[in-house]
Amino acid sequence: MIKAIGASFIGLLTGCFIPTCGVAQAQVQSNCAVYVDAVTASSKETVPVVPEKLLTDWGTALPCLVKIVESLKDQVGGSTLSADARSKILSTTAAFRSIVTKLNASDQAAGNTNGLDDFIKRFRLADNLNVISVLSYGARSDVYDIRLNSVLLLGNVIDNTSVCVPLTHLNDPTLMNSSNGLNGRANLLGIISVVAPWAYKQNYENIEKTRDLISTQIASDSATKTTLTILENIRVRLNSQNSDSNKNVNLPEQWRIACRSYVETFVPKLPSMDNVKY
Amino acid sequence: MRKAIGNAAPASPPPPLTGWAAFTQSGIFFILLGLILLLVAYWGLGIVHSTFSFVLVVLGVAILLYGTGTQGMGRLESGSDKAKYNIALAGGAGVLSFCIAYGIVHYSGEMQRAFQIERKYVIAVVKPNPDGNSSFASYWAQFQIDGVPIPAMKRGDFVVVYIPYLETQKDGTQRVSFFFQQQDSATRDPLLRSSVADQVEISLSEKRFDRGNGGYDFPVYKEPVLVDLRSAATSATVLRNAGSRQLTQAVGATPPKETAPAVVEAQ
Repeated sequence: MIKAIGASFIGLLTGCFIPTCGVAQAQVQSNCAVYVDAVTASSKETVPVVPEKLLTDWGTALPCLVKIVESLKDQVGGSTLSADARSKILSTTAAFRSIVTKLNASDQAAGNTNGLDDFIKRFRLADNLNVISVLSYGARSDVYDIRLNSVLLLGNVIDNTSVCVPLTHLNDPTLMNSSNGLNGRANLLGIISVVAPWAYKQNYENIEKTRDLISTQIASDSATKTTLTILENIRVRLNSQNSDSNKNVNLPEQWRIACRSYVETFVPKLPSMDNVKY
Repeated sequence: MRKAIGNAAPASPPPPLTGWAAFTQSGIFFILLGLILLLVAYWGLGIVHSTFSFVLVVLGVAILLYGTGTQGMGRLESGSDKAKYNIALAGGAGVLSFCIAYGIVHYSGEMQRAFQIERKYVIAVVKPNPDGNSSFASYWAQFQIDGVPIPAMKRGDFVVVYIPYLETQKDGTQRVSFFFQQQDSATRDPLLRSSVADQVEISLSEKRFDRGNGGYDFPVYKEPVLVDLRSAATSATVLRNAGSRQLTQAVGATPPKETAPAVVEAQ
């Protein structure tokens, strides 16, 4: 009885109002406890490695790890990450990296992309814009390993539903304040470049405008050769769309609402919404 | 009885020693014996324990000095009606002994180093790189200096390595080669390399040693050695594949023209 009440309470918190759904959510919470423990460091200096046995059944691990990433949304975004948040995000993204690498290796052996495709499909079902936001902060982190893990994951799971998040980060006026601003910007540009040939109307326009803005900025700062290469790559990939490709199709309203909400609540407030208009 | 005693003839002095017996009481004999002990100590350096060498050196010096004149320091002669004490102070040798004793006390640290030619050890802690992937769980490791294996032991998810050095190497460096090998290549994580070989320079400066953690004889090297076991190549492959990934096409839309893959790299 108490369990059922607890499950219903968790269901209410997570927006799941069907009684059976609440029980299912509670089950997920219970199953995820072991993953939360696995990514929680015992000291400030350590970064836990999620044990191999917990990642073997990646279908079970995935929603739990996604939830852990989402739980960090209020801890990222500041000028510096706390030791606990840094350790958790590094440990969790490293676990994802391990899963993705294994699936990629088995796909290569089998001569197909079924394993990684399945992972991406399930990740997109489990994620939301908060998860993509944490990973976008990861892509511009001061810690190289967090940047690498985040880019590796985002590069695979980014799509038309979520590209508005790295676009918003690229329009963040504080993006270049960090000592790793150049690296973060290059990483985020590489991620949006994945979507460019398949971008729907609003995303296409926003990618184009953001690309133009950064091209202008680069003329006046010490941009690296890599950034220029990526900007040119985005231009080429945007131009690969035909007149009747995705760029002429409006984003579904549901996706636009989510993106608009994300852009409007982004901290710090963007000086202009022109490049992320949804 | 009293008279008999009183009239007893005084004891005659012992006859002087001759031959080998006389030689064994001569100064030359003790000088030679001292030199032999010093030679034995010199020959034993690096073979016997340094404490034994030290004792031989001190004994050799002492006997040598005795031979130079200190043997006359005290001699008791007894007579029938009185006891005569003839005390001869050995001037030069005594002063030398005093100087040596002072030197032993004052320069004890330097002497300890001079005679400590046996191997000492500093403990280096080798840890997996704190990246969330590197772990020694499925690896065995070997450590070497100039091709000679050195003692190491696994303790949890890190390895403790005993790095030998001589006191004369202080303030120098010791180059340690390490080799990590996956125990079971069949079940290995493709993200982690099957083997990792590298070198690390260990500074033997006292400043780098922590003698509070591990004891005076086995100080701990302050900076842990971190080993990154990840394969950059496998991650690069995943990133490259991400750049070529095709996304969902809207209903009724046509696919894009063939184009360059996205440049997805972590900077």
